[in-house]
Amino acid sequence: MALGEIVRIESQGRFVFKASDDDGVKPEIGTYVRVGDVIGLVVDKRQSVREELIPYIPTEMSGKYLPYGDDLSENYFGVASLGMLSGAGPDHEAMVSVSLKDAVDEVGQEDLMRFHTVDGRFKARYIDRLVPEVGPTPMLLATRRLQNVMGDDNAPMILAVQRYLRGLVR
Amino acid sequence: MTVLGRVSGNDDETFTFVTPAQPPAGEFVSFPLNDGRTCLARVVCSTPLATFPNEFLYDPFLEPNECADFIGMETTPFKLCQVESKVVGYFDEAFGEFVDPKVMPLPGTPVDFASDELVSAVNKLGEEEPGSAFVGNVLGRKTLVSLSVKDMVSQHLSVIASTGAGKSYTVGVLMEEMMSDKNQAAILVLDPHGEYRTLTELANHKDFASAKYRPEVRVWDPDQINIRIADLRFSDILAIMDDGNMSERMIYFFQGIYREVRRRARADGIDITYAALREEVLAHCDGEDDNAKTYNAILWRLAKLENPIFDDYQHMDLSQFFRPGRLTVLDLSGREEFYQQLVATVLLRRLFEARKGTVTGKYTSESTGDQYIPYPTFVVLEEAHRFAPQNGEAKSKAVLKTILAEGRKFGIGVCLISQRPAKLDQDSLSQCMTQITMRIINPVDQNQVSAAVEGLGRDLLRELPGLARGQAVISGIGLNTPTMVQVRKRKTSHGGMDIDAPIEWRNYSESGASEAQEDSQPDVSYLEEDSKDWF
Ligand SMILES: Nc1ncnc2c1ncn2[C@@H]1O[C@H](COP(=O)(O)OP(=O)(O)OP(=O)(O)O)[C@@H](O)[C@H]1O
Ligand SMILES: [Mg+2]
Repeated sequence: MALGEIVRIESQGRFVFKASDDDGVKPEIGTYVRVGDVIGLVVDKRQSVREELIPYIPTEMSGKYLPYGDDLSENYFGVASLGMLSGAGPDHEAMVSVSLKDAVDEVGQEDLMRFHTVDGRFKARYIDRLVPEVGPTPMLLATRRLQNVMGDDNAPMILAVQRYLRGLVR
Repeated sequence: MTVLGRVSGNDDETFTFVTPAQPPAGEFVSFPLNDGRTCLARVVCSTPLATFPNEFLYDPFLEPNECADFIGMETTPFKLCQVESKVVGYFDEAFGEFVDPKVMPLPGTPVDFASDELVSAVNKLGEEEPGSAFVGNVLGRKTLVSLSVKDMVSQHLSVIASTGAGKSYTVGVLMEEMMSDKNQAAILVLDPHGEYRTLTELANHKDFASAKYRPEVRVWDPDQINIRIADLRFSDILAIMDDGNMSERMIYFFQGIYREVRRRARADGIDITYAALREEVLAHCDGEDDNAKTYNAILWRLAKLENPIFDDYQHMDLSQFFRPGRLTVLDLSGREEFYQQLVATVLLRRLFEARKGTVTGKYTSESTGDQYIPYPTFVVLEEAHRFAPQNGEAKSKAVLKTILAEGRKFGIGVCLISQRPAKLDQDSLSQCMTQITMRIINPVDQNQVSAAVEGLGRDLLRELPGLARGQAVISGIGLNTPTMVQVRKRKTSHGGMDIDAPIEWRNYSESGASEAQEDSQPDVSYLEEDSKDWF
């Protein structure tokens, strides 16, 4: 079941999707999502598109972009793409374009593990690159999800990284 | 050409380069100049290019590199060093010295370890050449280091370090070199601890004696060293007599006595003697009046000249002490500091007079015997702070300062050795144009050294506490650039051996001497019966 669909491409590697109107699971900051082979991370939640853009939105599209009354609960999610997970395995540096209306799904536990396993070792090599862009908090929240899929062996490392990210928040 | 690293930038005084190696401070590196010449530089310090976030280090079992790689941090900078370096210069063959190119290397310029050939240009002379003193090798390299004896002797030498760092040992090495065939020096060592006596081994050592040359080493025992009364000045005698409570009146009266005795001695063409002074005082001692009392007080103070170190006729014969190819060691061990100073004062004063007189033609071979010294001389002063203290008086300070300032003109070189540079007269220290500085821990002493030793940059000063025994920073005119040196092994044995207390204690026990001592119970027969229980 899709979480929603892409409503805006902000830049290479950044897009916004709108959550489906059903009562299914709502994404959170730190939720790993996928659009085809592209793996992304929810890094912010918004009520609507940016106010200053409203005058430029064509009328026929306004239904999509402008929040209705019932749309005020944060239904727009900004995503930073982290890389790709294809049959060949994970690639934390790949930059593949996504398109408007592409469906956005949550990443399952198994794929999450696969995406984070490079040469048999646990890696989240996008963290350092994304911190300056999105701030440490979304990355910190992401590591909490990773905790669940990383074995105990990696616990001390994830703890160190979390301490480091928390240090950056302050 | 190999490349050690690449220049990353510079400030006014230093440039930095980045390298996977970790060159130690003091190491020599080089880089090419635009005109094709190679410029020598000295490493000031190496620091890692990047440091880990502290949080990666909280858990000692965790590999921080692993954490960094986990989040995609570039880990290469943690393995690279940023090396701050100071330009020495390119070697100008024509001038025989390093010339500052006055430009800093541009970013990206390749830097390499300096070739042994370039590093050996720190020497003014090759180690076998006449006039050289081979002292060891550049720290961490095989390149040999030789000092220029000419510069050391004409503009003095200082050897400064904390106790036990290897000062006396190093001076021993220098003595060996200076006494060898290639130098044949005329040296006198004032040895307050009797630790230079072992240099007598020089005379029969195959490395120093040859068919046509054999160094001579003469050691004078403490009781063989005399000061002739006539070599003392009025103020010297006064200093010997005055225990701090000599009144103005006594000084005035004694001055009269001294003048009278001197006048008569001069008229008769003889030396002032203790006997003559005493006789003259005695002549005023009769009677009950105040004057007689004063003369009596002078008389018993004058008796201090009865110390066996003073003699009416025997004296330190300069021409015996100083002769090319002869090393004279004056063993002053056991003598009070005051007398050590007095010996130094009289000796240096007479030496200065003699050299000045000889150079200016006042003394010739036919005239005054022991005053004629027709060759330069080198005087080694151990515990130099005793002879030229920074604070307080020493009889020897004035003459020592004169020699340090003017010795160059008259060919008297001085070597000042001290473990307390802060107590050594700053002026005197700064007159020593070649400096051997070894481990110094005390910050006060470090500051004194940095103030007095111009050539020793802040970078090398910083290394002083970390030097091991026998390692030295040699700076000044004896070399072309300040260099960290591992001092070579002595060929003769070292006299100032450390005392190994546990070994000596055990040897004592094993020798059976301890039992012998135990057997001799204290004699308690004179004690009251009941108090004998105490023993
Ligand atoms: N270059 C060297 N090679 C080998 N041993 C050395 C060297 N220099 C010094 N030592 C050793 O270190 C010890 C101390 O050296 P030395 O007696 O010269 O110290 P010092 O600086 O003169 O001390 P002090 O201030 O007490 O006179 C000596 O026993 C000597 O064996
Ligand atoms: Mg010593």
